[in-house]
Amino acid sequence: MAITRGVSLYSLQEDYYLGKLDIEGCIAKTANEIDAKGIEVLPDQMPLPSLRSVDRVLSQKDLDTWFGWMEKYGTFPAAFDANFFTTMFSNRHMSVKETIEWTRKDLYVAYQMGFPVYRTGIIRHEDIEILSACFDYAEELGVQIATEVHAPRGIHTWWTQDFLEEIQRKNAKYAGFVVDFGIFTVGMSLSSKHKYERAGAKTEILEAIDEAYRAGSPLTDSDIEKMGGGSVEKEAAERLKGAIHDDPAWLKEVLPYTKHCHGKFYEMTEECKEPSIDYAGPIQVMQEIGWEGCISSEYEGQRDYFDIGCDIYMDPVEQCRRHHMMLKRLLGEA
Amino acid sequence: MNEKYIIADNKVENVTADGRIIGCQVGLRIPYYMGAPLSQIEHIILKIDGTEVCQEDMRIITEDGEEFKMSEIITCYRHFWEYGEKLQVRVLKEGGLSKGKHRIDVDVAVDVIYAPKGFGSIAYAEFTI
Repeated sequence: MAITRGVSLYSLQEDYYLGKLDIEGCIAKTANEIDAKGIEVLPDQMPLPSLRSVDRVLSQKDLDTWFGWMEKYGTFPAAFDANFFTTMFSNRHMSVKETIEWTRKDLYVAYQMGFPVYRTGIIRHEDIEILSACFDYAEELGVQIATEVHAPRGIHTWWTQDFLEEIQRKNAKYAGFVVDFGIFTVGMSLSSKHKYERAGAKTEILEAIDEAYRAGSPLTDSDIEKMGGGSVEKEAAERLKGAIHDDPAWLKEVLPYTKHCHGKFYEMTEECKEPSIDYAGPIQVMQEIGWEGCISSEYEGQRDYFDIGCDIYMDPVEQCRRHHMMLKRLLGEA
Repeated sequence: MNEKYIIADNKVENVTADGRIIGCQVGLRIPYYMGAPLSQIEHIILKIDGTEVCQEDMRIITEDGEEFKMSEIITCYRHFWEYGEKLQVRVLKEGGLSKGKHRIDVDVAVDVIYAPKGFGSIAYAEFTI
């Protein structure tokens, strides 16, 4: 097994949200039009009906349907994206004990659906305790617990480092990471640029913000004011400051524990390029050390077109198709 | 998030029961990227033609036809507002809305552990009865 390619059905969220595609439709588009075989799902976004049963265990009927789709479309379950943030009640967070119970239930659903990877995340320090309490159960099921390395939780932050320490301390074989390519953000995405242009930002100021970020010296509010920019341009700069640009070489520290990757992207050009995220650098590192696993497209730029009055529809299937053209090129498949 | 899709079909309709109009109803999509139990709803605030609707006059009608008051939804952890579902929110108002043009403003949010302000949307729609 080398590096395989997949799609997080999250990428097709808009069509599902509007009732244009159901789960099977998303899987069919992935296999037939995007030319990818790995399927990643957020079950709480696109649930099989029995997920909402009292015990949150999937019925045999739903499992037959699910595996039937995998066979029909020649696809494979790649990653299960847990609703690890489940607040459940608006007036309190779940306790540590409740969250452990919930995580175990979800791990079982991931196992039922044949997912090798259970993608979760660490927000609070106690989340490490919660996941660590599930390591043995994950091993029993043969499902990897993988927390996401995702901005602002970069490779050299406590979120990643403390979990790595816990994995090593316990010598856990079924725990690790999902690396999100968004940690290699090199500049402003096209979807973000277009959103702020629609809100009235001056293109030349957005380009200056982008250039300064790329040069490693982001513009301050006063820099933007001097250029004649206002609140919209400042918001664009602020959003970009929230991105992170980890050195791809740091990947070597986490790749031995990395079970899966999110190919985050915001908007592909017609030439099948994603100008805001470095893909070539990280993929080169992955190939150098012989990393094996799946990179799933995670298209997120469509949300920049969800403002009221915006009638632009970005076709997510076309966006993912272009993303996979790029991946094929970088992986040496094309 | 999802602002342009929150108010389903950009419309509000009068609701009739036993031959009389008992109020109006709007379908709302969730301002989040997943489904969530009704107990996770932080708030739903509606304004019709600039006037805020009293929470006591609002009802949530689930897909399976159950009806809850706003004060009750904190306990509805078994009823999910699915991603994409047009959750029916009814406003009890004898006679409903008059014929003609109206505007609805919606402020809706679900509480999420990692988002201090929750995930929410502010949306509006102009519609005709």
